[in-house]
Amino acid sequence: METIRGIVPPYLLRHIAGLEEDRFATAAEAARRALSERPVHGGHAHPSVRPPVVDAELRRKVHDAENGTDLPGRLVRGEGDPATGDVAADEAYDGFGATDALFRQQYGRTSMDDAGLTLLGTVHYGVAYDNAFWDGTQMVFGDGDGEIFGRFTASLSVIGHELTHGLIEYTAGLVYRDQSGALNESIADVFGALVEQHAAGQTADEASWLIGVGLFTDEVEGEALRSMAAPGTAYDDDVLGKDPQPGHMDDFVETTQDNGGVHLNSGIPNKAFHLVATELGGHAWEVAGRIWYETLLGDLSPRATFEQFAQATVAVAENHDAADVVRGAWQAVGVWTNSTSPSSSSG
Amino acid sequence: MDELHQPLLVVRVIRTGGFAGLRRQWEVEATSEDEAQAWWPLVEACPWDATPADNHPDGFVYEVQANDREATLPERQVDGPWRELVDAVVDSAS
Repeated sequence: METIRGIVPPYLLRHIAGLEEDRFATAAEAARRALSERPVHGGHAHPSVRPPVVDAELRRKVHDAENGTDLPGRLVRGEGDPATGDVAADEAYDGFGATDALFRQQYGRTSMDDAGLTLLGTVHYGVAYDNAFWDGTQMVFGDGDGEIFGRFTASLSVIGHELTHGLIEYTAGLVYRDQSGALNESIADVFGALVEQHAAGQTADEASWLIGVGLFTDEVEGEALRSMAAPGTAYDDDVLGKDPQPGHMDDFVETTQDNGGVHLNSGIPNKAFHLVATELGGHAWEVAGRIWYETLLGDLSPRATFEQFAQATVAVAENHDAADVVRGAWQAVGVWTNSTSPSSSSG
Repeated sequence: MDELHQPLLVVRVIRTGGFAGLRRQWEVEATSEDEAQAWWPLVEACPWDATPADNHPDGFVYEVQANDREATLPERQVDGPWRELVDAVVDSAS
């Protein structure tokens, strides 16, 4: 299990190992294991420099930009505070909690940096602002223009998506351009979808695999922004046009716009993940999600291509008896042909 | 088209990226000297040759064109004169 590393001080491991609450079960189990395996002269620290863990508990801070663009804005809800009554602020707070729950309970991760970083967010950013983003420090959510988009906190998959951008920054550091940028986008969609499925207790077969359900107003002909199960089918609207995402390398989009089409070509690895998850069945976060998570923590290049990422997932999948399924999924979306696919012994 | 009605200045803003990855485009055409005179100071005020900064995940990307000038900017760089120009084009075209 990938979790508590050797850099965690023993007193904290003992603290975590002693936690009884259900939501800490995975972290506690990992901490107990780390304690029992801990070598006498300290553990094997991760090569990157990490701040010491001082507080492993979930901490959230939601701010209100009051339709301005200064960040973070006025603090409206800190950890443990009662609901504000403002829908966007409370959705952000709850969404951070649901995202943290997936990573903490299933992968034993304590916040995006695995060191208890406070989750920061700002709602009501700008005027009629049609977007949500991760600015390198915090999540930012607009209210939408009311014609095409409503508020961006309305979808849990969006909140999970933005937090995952933070996680990627602290792990693989995938450069936000071209194929590595599309991988960054896809991984944010993957865990955005998994946050939603985890919160709802859905299996891969039960899940919608849609990203951003409820963001469009009723005026728009479309159910969501992206479909991981069927890229290119999320919307088809007179004003917006048709969802342009490809789901296969044959349709890979070469463009200089959108940082090299990062929100378009992400459909290809999205589809590969969907194939892995539905082929394996059950809860997608358990094996498929864990393979993607462990791949992020591995020695992936920040400029990784689809093929390099695919190879890394197959290598991780060897440890989860899922290499054939993962290899097959990448073949199905055209990242490998039958002849270029790495053999089972190469993993 | 009648030569007299050829636009003297065309300013175009193409916005891509953002969480939704939707492409939006706005454009203004100045067909008279008076109109062009009103737009030129906004165009001239922008640092067209500045090096674009890195974008943050899900930030918008703006492509701004004014006749033969062109710049691609991440959202965080659309500030000051760029913000004035972009907002003016979006407001005029919407």
